Formats: sequence, C-alpha cells, structure tokens
Amino acid sequence: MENLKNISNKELLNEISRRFDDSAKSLKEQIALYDTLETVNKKLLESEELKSHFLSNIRNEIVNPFASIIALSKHIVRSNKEDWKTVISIAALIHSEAFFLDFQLKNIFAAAEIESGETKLHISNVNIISIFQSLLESYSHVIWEKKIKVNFINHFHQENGSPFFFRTDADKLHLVISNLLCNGLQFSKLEREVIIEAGILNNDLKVTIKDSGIGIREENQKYIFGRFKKLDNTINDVNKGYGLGLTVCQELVNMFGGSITLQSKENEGSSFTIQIPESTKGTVNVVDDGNEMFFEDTQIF
Amino acid sequence: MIETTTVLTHYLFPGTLYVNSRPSVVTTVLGSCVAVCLFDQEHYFGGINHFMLPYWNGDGLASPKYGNVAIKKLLEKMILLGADKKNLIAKIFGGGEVIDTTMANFYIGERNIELAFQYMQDVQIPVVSSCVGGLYGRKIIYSTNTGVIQHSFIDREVRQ
Repeated sequence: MENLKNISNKELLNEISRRFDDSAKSLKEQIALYDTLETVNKKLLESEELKSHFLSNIRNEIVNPFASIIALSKHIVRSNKEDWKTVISIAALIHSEAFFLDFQLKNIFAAAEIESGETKLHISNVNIISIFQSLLESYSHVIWEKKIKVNFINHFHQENGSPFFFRTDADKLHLVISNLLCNGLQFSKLEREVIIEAGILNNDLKVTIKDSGIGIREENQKYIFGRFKKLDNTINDVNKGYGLGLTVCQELVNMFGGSITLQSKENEGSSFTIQIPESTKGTVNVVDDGNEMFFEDTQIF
Repeated sequence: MIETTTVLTHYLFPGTLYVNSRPSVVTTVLGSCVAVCLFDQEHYFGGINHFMLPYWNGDGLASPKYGNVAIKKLLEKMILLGADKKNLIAKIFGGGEVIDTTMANFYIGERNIELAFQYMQDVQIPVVSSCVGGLYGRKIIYSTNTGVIQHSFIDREVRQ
C-alpha cells in the first residue's frame, strides 16, 4: 500500500493505458492466429473433398481414354483392309487419346516424385529450341484440330546459327513448358492465336506462353497453382485433366530456383511466364572437397 | 569372390530426403533449414531430410519442404527399408537465424528446430546429439552406415 500511494494519477493512467494497449495487441494476435487456424481447417476439409473427387476423376481421365483406345484399335483390326483412310483417321484418334493419357500420367508421377522428396535434377546442356520444336510437333494434332495459330517468337540470337544451349534439367523443363502450352491450347478458342516467347533475360531463361482463351478472374488467380484446383469443376471437354499441371509447374520451377508468374484478364486470355536461372550444379555444389576432416572447426557428432 | 563396398555420395537439396541401406555419404548445407538424421543402431544404416519450413499449410504439394511432412516421410522410408523404430536414434542440425530479422513471425529457424525436437519426442526417438540455432549456416556430412556426422559452420560473409 505504501508503494501505491507514491504513484501519481498520471502514472496510474499511463500504466492503465499501457495495459490496455498490451491486451489489445494480444487480442489482435489471437484473431490473426484464429484466422490462420480457420484457413487451415478449411483446407483440410477441401483436401478431403479433393480425395473423393480425385477418384471420380481417375475414371474419367484414365479409364475412359483406355476404353476408347481399346475400342478404336478393335475397329482397326476389324476394318476393311482397303479402307486405309478410315484406318488412318482411327489411328489419329488413338494417338490423341494415348498422348493425353501419357501427359496426365507424367504429371501424376512428377507430383508423386516431388512429394516423395526424391526428385533429382539431371543437369545437362539443353538445346532449348529443340524442346519447343518437339513440343510443337507433339501438339500438332491439337493445333491443327482447333486451327490455332502458334506464333513462336525466338529471342535466342546465335550469331553463327549454332543451337542455343542452357544448363538445366531437360525432362523437367520439357514437362513445365508442355503443361503451359497444353493449357494455352486447351483454353484457347478456335482459330485464335497462342504466342510463345522465349529468350534470355539477365542470364535467366525466360519463357512466356500467352493464350487468347477465357482468362482468369483476378480473385481466382491465387488459387490456380493449388493442387487439384480447377476453377471449373464440371467435367467437360475443354476442362480436361486433374488440375495438377500448374502445381507441378510451380514446384519444378521452384526446384530450379526460378519463378512462375501469371498475367490474366477475364475473357482476354492468360499469359504465364517462367524465369529460371541457369544451373550451376557441378561448379558450386561439389560434394567432394577432399580434406574435410582437417578443417579447424569441424566437429564430429 | 571379394565384394568391394563402394560408398555412394549424395548432395542433398533442400526439400528432399535421402534414405539408403547401402553405405552413403550425404552432404548438405543448412541455413535456417533443419536436417533430421536418423540412424538404425542395429542395421547400421540411416537417412536424412532437409526441410525449409515447419508446417505444410495446404498450399502446393505436400512435399518434404515442410518439416511435418519431411520427418514423417523419412521415418516411413527408414521403416520401409527395414529399420526398427526402437533402434533409431536422431541427430538434429541447422535452424540458424542466417537472415537478420526483428519480426517474430520470421523466426523460421527457431520454429523449424522446435518442430524437429517436438516430433522426435512424439515418436519417442531419442535425440542423441544436435547443434542448432545460432547465427551461422552449417555444412554437414553424414556417413549413413556409421551414423557419424561431420559438422562445420559456414561464414556469414561466404554464404550467399
């Protein structure tokens, strides 16, 4: 009581206001934590839903193509051998079904590999132009079918016309660009244009793929890299796939130490850009530096 | 016939893990990331992970970039390759505050360390040694067949 008497009214008021501030602050922190908890909880529920959705998707995305491949090939076997035009068109259908199936499986396996934590980068000198050429070749049936005009703007200017090499993981880069291109073609309307732009910016590889499709609303843009996230959950022909492609792209690009960005306006199309640094593996991350044991501060645990 | 045992070498990238029943030497460089090294004292093999953030928040894939996923997967893989949980010991490294920060939210190193120790306590695997926290990055070299870990600090200036 002795102490209390010595405190002036002003000091008392100050102390009270300080305590109010403190409790207001902790309340604010609690609200923020509660919000986080709520978001995580929501995601948990969503992920349960996704699991059941995934199973129903498997039927559509894997079983159906197989069924048509089997039926179509049976058709070829039974067809009149002189009627080669029909055979060719059936073969083209089989190819397109099998191609898409293969692509989906590649994404699933890539995602599974990343989740297992055992993905390794296999770095080599990669001819970037040849990746685009092989992709455009493999998507030629889609391009032809939808009468899409693909405009490939190549900024790699090699003086002597020799191919341009970039140190990276060829297969993973192939899968990333394949996904972006596939999306671009899939969501483009008939007879429209898809622009591919590739070049080097500040020593990084920069690739932009711009479609003239339905676009993505701004409030939805933050969701599209989420796994199994499809903005339109109805099952239709435009909207094929699991919604795994962009997640895989983002994870792989992160693994390269690069970034993936999206610019889009609804009904005007979307443009995805990846920027990845050249791999320095083999020069920096050398595992073996010999006399490790003799470093002064090395401790043994 | 004489069997020569070749020792495998592996550079462990962030967000990945490595388990092998064959003798391996695994090197990794840690900043605020944490590596949990498990070792089976009876079968003489081990595994290691390297995670960047404590908890998976549901974004992206449930990859071993996140501590709760990385430790679970490491343990599963060890058991898959024949380890017995009661023979396992753990060593924990990393979690330095290598980036200057004053914001409590960003004490990632500390949160990573906390998760690693808590997880080991939950699954009842003894942490026999550790070197965590501090202001420096680390380089560790793990011999998975002996369980021995060489540890050295990396100078702040040198670190990128």
